[in-house]
Amino acid sequence: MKPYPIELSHKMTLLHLSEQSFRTDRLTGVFALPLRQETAAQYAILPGLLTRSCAAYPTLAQFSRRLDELYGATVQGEIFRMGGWQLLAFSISYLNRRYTLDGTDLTAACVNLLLDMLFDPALENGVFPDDAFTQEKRCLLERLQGEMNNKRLYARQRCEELLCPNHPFSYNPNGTEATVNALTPAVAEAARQRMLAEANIHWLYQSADDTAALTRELDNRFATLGERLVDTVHADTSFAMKESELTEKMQVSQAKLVLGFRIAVTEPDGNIVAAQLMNTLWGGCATSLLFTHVREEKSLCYYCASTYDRYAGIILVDSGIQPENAEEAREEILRQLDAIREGSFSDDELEAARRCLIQRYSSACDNADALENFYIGQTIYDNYLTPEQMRAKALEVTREDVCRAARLTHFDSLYMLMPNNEEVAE
Amino acid sequence: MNPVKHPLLGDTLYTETHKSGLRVVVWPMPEASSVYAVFATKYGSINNILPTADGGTEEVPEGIAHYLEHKLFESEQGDAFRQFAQTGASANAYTTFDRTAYLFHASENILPSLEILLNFVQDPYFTPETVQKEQGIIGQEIRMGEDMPGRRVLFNMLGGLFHNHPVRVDIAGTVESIAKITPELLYRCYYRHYNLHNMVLVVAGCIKPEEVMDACDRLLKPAEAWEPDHYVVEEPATVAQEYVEDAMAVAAPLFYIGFKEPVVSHTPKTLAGARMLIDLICGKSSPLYSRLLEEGLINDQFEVEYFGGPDYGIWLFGGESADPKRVKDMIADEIARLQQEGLDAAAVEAVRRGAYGRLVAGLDDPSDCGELILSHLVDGVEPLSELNALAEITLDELTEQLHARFDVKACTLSVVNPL
Repeated sequence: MKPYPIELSHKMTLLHLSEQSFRTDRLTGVFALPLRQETAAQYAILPGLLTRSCAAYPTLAQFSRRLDELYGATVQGEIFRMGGWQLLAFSISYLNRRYTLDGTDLTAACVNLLLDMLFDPALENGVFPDDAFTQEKRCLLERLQGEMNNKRLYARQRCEELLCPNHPFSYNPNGTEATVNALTPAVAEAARQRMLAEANIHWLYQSADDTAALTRELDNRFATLGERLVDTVHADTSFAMKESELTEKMQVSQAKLVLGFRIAVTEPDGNIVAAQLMNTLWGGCATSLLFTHVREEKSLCYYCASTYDRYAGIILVDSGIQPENAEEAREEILRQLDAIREGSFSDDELEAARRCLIQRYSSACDNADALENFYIGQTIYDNYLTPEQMRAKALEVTREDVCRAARLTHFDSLYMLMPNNEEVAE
Repeated sequence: MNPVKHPLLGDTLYTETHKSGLRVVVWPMPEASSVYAVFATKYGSINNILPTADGGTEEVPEGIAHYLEHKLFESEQGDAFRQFAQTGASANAYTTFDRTAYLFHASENILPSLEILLNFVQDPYFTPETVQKEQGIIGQEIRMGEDMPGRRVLFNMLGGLFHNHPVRVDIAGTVESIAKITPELLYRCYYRHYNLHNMVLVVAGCIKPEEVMDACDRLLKPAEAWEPDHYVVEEPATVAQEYVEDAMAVAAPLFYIGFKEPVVSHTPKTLAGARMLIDLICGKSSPLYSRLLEEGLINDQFEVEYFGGPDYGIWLFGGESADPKRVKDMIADEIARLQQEGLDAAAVEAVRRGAYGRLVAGLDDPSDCGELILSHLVDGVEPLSELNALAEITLDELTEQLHARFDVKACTLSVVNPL
């Protein structure tokens, strides 16, 4: 059954997922704000600050002890980029009453704890305390600096910057070192208030319980704010044809090759499932053309995979290879895209990709995290399809739909992270 | 199969040792929409000695268990991945220090997928050409690992902690060591370790026990009698190196602190005790965690873990820090303080609830359920007995473990500094 969001007061929606039966129940608030360079860090520090304490449990130790007492209830604050949006997701998950050792129902306590984190944080003189703020600012800064540690992700980020320079599609949702350094406790508190007042807010509730008590509590909390003036984004996914290329050196053992493509199939109107199937066939599964030809036939790499961002209209293909094999890998990657454009792939290959894609949708059903992620991806347009409905759409995609999606895919940028052999030699 | 209803979860598990020697556990989950199946052997990178025909022993190349895992997907009829592609199952495999596991996750065509799994793991096919072809692929996997600072700092720590035990060696081996692998060696390793008496099958999700046993009856091949290895690794209680330093392209120093467990034993209560002790020493609700954060010595990358195998146990503390030596001293001091002053009863009860809740919360997905059962079987404890132990373990038992399982002097600090 197609899930419909419940319209709440204060310009919010609630998606109630009551059909799946998990051992845990979960409430998540998704706060979507336009991703801007000047405000990204201000929001990015909030997950750290708000998930470590609240006024009732003002220290990290007290707050963590409370979570232990609530049978290991877990609070999470996550931040990510979705097209031109910066998404902050705050969640609490807790054992269903069937599984607590003494039969305690944790729902009210956990829902209130999550809302206390957001509405009643531990403040001193109206701002975040210096010690907590300093710790979280340092953690955010070190997280940013540490992004270079994962060379594969680092190379992908660099390619995104080539693809969409000075554009939200390549902004780091954690901000920049300069904008993090400029943060103060007062700026962070102002960002919290702005987040509550201006974000597009969608609540996801995974529980068999009804939503009456929750909606009442949400209404009460938001009634303490003034009228919410919700900010919005009009994402421009159009692109000009270009070809950029950048090679950088670092002390690494293996070169990281990333090819960036623009694809004119995006949310909310594009044939997303066709593009997903094309991407799966190209480099998104263990029988994909890239896996078969670049890895298995040519033994050039351990991984050669493609990933599709349906909000930005970007496909990245990346591979870890020996530097001398880069050109051969690049040619093969482009050759396989041409093959899909021309329909030069077998029915077996297409159907294997389709089954893989369907399995990916289905696997969300048995995992609370995966199910939530599946729906968070749809909150932006507030139009929800179930995994079963996505499966039905995947079954309808034709061979020609797949070829068309490939023809709408254009090579744009190449990024190479090469071993710095001189430094290695030293 | 024997049904065993779990007193705390209410779920019923079915277990049986099949006539072929294979231990089979089925966890039916009628409300799930998928099935996770894992067919594993208790053979990992630490099993690096093979018996020879003359009654002696031979050391095999580092990384061979992992290499075998890659090659087992190929058969004379083709690649098992291609067969799974026909059913739509998502298949994979992995090798750790003490196991090699082959698995799939599927929402439809479940029984055909189970048949593929049972068949290909029992059907080795290695030729000089196919073995040679894999050198390039695994070589790149090894190179990828060399660029992972977290992996480097971990294996440097293990190399410092252990003098002789093969847990000190990277699971994937090196480009040089895998070059020595031949089809003949792979076959010998396979027939030594992939005996059904040394293997387990765990299936969790929307499946009936009789369906699994029917597939086992039809597809499992008779296995020869099998005896476990009796090789004893001479490993001193001390560490090989107290401090190991390296440098890579990283933003800040990464560290791992390892404490070597003096006496290793795996029981439900030692597994439960490990979960609780790491939380009591340095979990987020502990005084030490707050102090480390307040002093700017750790960040949100900090992690604490216990991991152990048949004859080794390691308490791990890792993350990023400008002063890893200070972190090590503070952790060692806290362990010594707790050993001297004792555990706080209220903290123990809170941590018990937290650990219990987190373990149960991790049992939604058939894949998580299957992996926990596999882990218990490899550790030699009854499935889910750890959960009961978490509810039952006493303060005295935990205190005893705190004394017996930590030697603060048997510690290695590994650091990877920025270049």
